[in-house]
Amino acid sequence: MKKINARSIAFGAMFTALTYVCTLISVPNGLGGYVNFGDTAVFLAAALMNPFVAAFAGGAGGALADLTLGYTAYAPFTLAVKAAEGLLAGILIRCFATKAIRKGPEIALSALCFVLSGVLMAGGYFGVNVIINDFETAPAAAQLPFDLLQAAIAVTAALLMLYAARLKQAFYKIYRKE
Amino acid sequence: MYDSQSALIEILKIHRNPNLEKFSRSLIPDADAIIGVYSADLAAFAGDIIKSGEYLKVLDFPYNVCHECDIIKGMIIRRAKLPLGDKLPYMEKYASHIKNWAVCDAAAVKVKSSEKQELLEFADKLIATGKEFNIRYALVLLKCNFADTAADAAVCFDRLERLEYGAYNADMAAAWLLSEIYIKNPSDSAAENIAAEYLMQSKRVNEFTFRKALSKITDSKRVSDIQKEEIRQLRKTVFND
Repeated sequence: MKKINARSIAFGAMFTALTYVCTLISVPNGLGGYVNFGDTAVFLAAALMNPFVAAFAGGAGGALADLTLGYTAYAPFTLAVKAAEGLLAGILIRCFATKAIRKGPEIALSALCFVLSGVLMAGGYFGVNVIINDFETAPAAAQLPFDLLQAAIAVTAALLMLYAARLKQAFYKIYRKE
Repeated sequence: MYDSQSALIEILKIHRNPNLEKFSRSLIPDADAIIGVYSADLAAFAGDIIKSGEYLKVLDFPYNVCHECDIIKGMIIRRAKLPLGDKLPYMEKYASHIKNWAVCDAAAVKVKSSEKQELLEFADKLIATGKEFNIRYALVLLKCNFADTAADAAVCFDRLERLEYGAYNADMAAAWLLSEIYIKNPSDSAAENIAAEYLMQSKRVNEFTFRKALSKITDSKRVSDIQKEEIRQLRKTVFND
């Protein structure tokens, strides 16, 4: 069993707060809806920490943001869906992306891991919307493209931040501090 | 209070722990007479001696009599607020008496940037002796002072390229130095790290040192889980494990 240490707790709390704040930041998607950047924070936690931190950050950060924004009915579902998204992203990153020891293949594999996790998130919310709309699939199907768009934006933003903005290197420099 | 080494030994004996003595003996088989005093207590003694102003006298006590006394001397050398130029004669004397890794690592001096060149010349002198613990001490000094940047790492790589590998304690210090460079100079991917690139390109670093360097990185608490997985994959790729 992996030990939970002060460093994991501190960074776990930091990524949870980041997910919460990024979920609160909503911008118009140009199609009449809004996208937020909560999934970007979840992907960053998965790529920089571990599946458990990503799952906790996604579930707790996302659910708290739902409560803050007044989407109370969605909060318990968000807890489950975003935790699953973070857990899957973290596991996939650990199993596949770390197999690449060079930057190019690592970016490609990370992108694939994020895409699969994003699809899980969109699929999860499709199910949630079906339940919330009294098992009517039409409203849920109408929402699905927006969730997929949000996932696509999150994948792109996470990759840009990790590799183009050198966040990965910067984070490791902070992480190594004693 | 610290008039003679025997007086210091008598004080240390008050803090003796028989279980620690037994444990230390198994961990450091090459050590001189071990009393069995915890490192934290030794550090406190070293601090007291420095504060008392009697530390230069303690540094002149005979070496290789008592393990803990030598460790205290190393701690004094490391912590005393003296310019490097004043410390060097004591470091030289200390280096000539090192017989085990614990004594060696106790005197890991960290210097100001203006003193780095002087320290490097001292490290080169130690490496040139070809003695196992002199080389280890030089590499430990490099680890503490020349691991933070790529330019500093180049200085270390230059020395590592000229080392004769095969002596256990020196090889372990080389591995430690390389792991420190890896941790302090993070990269986007494992193979693109300057330390990893050096390890893969160097024709001189032996497999033992290479493997130990990777092990030290994965053992570090300053490395994230993802970095550790990347290092394990690098090891698999290089050694077909």
